[in-house]
Amino acid sequence: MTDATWITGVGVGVPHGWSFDEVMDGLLAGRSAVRTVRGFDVTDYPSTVAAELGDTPRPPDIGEEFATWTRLEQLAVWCAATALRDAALWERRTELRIGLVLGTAGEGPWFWEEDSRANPTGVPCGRDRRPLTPFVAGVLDVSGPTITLSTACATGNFALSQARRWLQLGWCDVCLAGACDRSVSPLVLASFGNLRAVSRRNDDPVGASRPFDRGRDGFVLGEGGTVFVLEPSNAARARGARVYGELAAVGLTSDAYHPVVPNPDPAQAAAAVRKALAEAGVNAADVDYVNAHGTGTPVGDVAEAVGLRQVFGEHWRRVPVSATKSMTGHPITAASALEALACLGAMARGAIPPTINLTDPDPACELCHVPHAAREARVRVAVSNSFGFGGSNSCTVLRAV
Amino acid sequence: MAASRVRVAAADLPTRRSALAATYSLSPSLLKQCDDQTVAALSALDSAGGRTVGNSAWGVVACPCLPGRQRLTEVIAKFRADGPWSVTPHYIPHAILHSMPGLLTQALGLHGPAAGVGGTPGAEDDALRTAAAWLAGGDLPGVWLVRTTPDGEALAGAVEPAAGPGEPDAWAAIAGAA
Repeated sequence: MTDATWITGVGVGVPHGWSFDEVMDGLLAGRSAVRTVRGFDVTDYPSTVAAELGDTPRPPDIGEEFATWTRLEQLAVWCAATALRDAALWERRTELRIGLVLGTAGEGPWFWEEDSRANPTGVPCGRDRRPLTPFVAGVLDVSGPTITLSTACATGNFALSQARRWLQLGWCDVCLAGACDRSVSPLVLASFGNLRAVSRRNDDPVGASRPFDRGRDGFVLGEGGTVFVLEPSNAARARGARVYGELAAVGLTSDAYHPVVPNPDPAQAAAAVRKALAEAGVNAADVDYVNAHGTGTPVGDVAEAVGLRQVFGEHWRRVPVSATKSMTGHPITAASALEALACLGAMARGAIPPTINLTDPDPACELCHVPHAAREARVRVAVSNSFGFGGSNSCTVLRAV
Repeated sequence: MAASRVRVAAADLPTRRSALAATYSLSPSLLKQCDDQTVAALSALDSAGGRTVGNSAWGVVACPCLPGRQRLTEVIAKFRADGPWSVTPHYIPHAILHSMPGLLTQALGLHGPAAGVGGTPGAEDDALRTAAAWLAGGDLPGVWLVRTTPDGEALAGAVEPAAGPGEPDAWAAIAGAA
């Protein structure tokens, strides 16, 4: 039997905080991180609200050169370094083969936009930067395999899937996996706004992200990063590691339908959930919590609700579902890693974070919602859905250890 | 194994877009919006037998090099001149790292996983590693592995990458086995 994959470290930087506990405190309090954007002038933007991330703190043991790095590099290094430290592996990082699977939306466009803002009269996109993932691996001085990947909003789950396979195949001893995104930029906010994908509830920032609510009008842009330390259970047990939970399975499929719009027939999204449950050896009746993709878009929320009712059958009325994007906004490629953290937090705290702003539930999105306030619950098995542009579907199953 | 290598001249792109839209029953506007490298990728898949090889359970690993660069240059110039309402809504869906694998699954009707990998010069090994993990892990019965790169630097005044796209041995071996 293949050794189970355990999560033994977490590094996070999101508007709710810079540690596992800070983030869970915010989510369980039902606190929204959405505000009117302050990082640049949004006076003439279609959407003016987002969950913006502040400046990244410098991790311990990283030198003053940190201040010269780009904001995306700072965030990725923070998440990866603090994850290793949280796992008590920082001092041993050069002894082990530590892999790195890092998701990010498109570092090229992000860097080019940063450059264009810094040099508004120069040639846009005129300079190449060092690739992010090898840079982070170099700063950390880790020597295992690395990749950068993107499947849009499903990226974090794909990263977890790759890392789990690498460990099972023996390609590394430990693997860092997660995703980082600094999406709240002028071009991204404008582009999503003109796509009519984001909420235009500009006069009510806290109420703008309302998954499964009849009044939803699109997602709210967010940003941040979450990186996990994964290792085989035998190794983790042998060194007496603290364990957040088991990464039991990840199911992946594609809609093959449209670059933006999810297929209203959720067959492939449901197939991703079924694959994950099957690989984890979990029945629908065993699931204690579903962290929904739940972005707050009119089409996507209905498709997800229909898919969950199909997968859970008669059990859908009792399996609690919440959409933490109601509080975090949608951090795009970083979303599913953050939502895996929310699942681990529900296990650790014995409480399910709520879907805020769910004042008028859409009957087409009928599920066992957790509206407004956290709910006490013993969570042994949690499911986290993420579906992305390009038709990528993903579902992660996490199990308490 | 099926393999192919194609080179698409910039002047041929409009014709390719129309032809591929017809061949794969895709909306012409979809092919019109997608990145130049995505057109090259779909051309390569078509040449490798994308319509006849494999089945719908296959996945895609796509490894474009600096996708969307020319397009973003135009977007930024327009944004500077005309402000936020001028920014095209098509850039994010069609021109960044996840866009190519998504379009390829749609064209070929693939329901296996699809990921954009690397995205920067010298990231070809990332793609090989991703595909190998899926296959060795038993996640899917087959995978289309696509790498694209522009020839030289298309942007006037831009700086060449410090590390060129190169031609790793593994890719040469794949091309040689075709």
